[in-house]
Amino acid sequence: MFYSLDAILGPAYFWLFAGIATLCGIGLLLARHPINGAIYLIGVMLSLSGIYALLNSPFLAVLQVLVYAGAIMMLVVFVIMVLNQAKEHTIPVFDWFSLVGLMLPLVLGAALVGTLSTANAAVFRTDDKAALITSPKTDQGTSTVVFAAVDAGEGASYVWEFGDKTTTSGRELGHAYAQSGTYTAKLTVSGAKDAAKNGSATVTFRAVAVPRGEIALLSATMFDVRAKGPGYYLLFELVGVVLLASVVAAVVLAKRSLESAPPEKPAHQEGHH
Amino acid sequence: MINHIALVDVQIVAAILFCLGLAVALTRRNVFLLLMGIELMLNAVNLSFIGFSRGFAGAESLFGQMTPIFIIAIAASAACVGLAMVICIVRGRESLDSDAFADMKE
Repeated sequence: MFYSLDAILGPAYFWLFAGIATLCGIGLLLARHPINGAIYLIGVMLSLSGIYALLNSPFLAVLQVLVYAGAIMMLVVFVIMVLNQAKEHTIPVFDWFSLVGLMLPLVLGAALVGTLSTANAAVFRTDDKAALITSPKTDQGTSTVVFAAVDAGEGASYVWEFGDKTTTSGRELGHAYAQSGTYTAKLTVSGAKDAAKNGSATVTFRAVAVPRGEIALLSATMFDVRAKGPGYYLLFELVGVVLLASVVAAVVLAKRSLESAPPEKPAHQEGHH
Repeated sequence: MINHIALVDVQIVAAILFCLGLAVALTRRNVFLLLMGIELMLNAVNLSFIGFSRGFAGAESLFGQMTPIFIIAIAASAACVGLAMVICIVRGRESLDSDAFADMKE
């Protein structure tokens, strides 16, 4: 089995961000004041941007922080503060209808998660070119080419010859080509209990080497730990944390100054018809 | 390598977030939290798209990443319009309870 540092770090980062996002989502559901809800929602959006970066979408990750965590949430927080009224506390957090309404998401969530966790991961793969290989396709547009083999069952071992005189074993792995060009990779599967699944297959594709320092929409260049070290990724997360801290500071300062303001005139409860 | 995150796990996280957003939008009575629940649902859909887009190689992956760009733009404009409406209605009603917005006769 092939293990590298980012083979362990990738899922670890993913589950960390997924956990933060889920906890912040629960916090949003139970938040007493909309300001707290807004901060929880920013937490969800920042963790989602981290997940996007891990899923090879650095452009969307940056867009997520800029548009959602930046613009939309600042707008929401601004409006909440403009409309900050003491009588928000008179609105009950939940009422009897809420408990009925909660049933629908609960049932839907249980059904979705139940279905997904029993689904075979291979369902989501592209069709195989050579019965054994699910990727790459011929027009691979990134420097790191993703190789994946069809699961051959228990005991199988997978050996890839990348076509540039390097060999690695593992069912799913990535390989960065130093030079652009057309390569033929060969996969050899052996040791599978089902003898029909043993054998070898080749796939020919074009790999494009993206120069370092260039950020392509689809490439993992910006957050490629192997090529650049964790520096860019940590910088990106740092910007997110600074943004979150500034929002929290603005909220704390604004609430303090609002509390010291003179009380508003009591408003009539019913709207005029 | 990034590729060791299972595609199904991404979809499970997206499903959980979508249901949390739906729960917020259905059960909370404060208008702001209602809008935030809708934003959370849109974000979960984005995550689902990006999770699927990673299962495809090369240019096909681009299609899964284009839809979230549209969704982000639409969500931004929806938030602007929604918050503007909330401000307009709250000026007249002096309440943030969504039940107070039930009749739109005026």
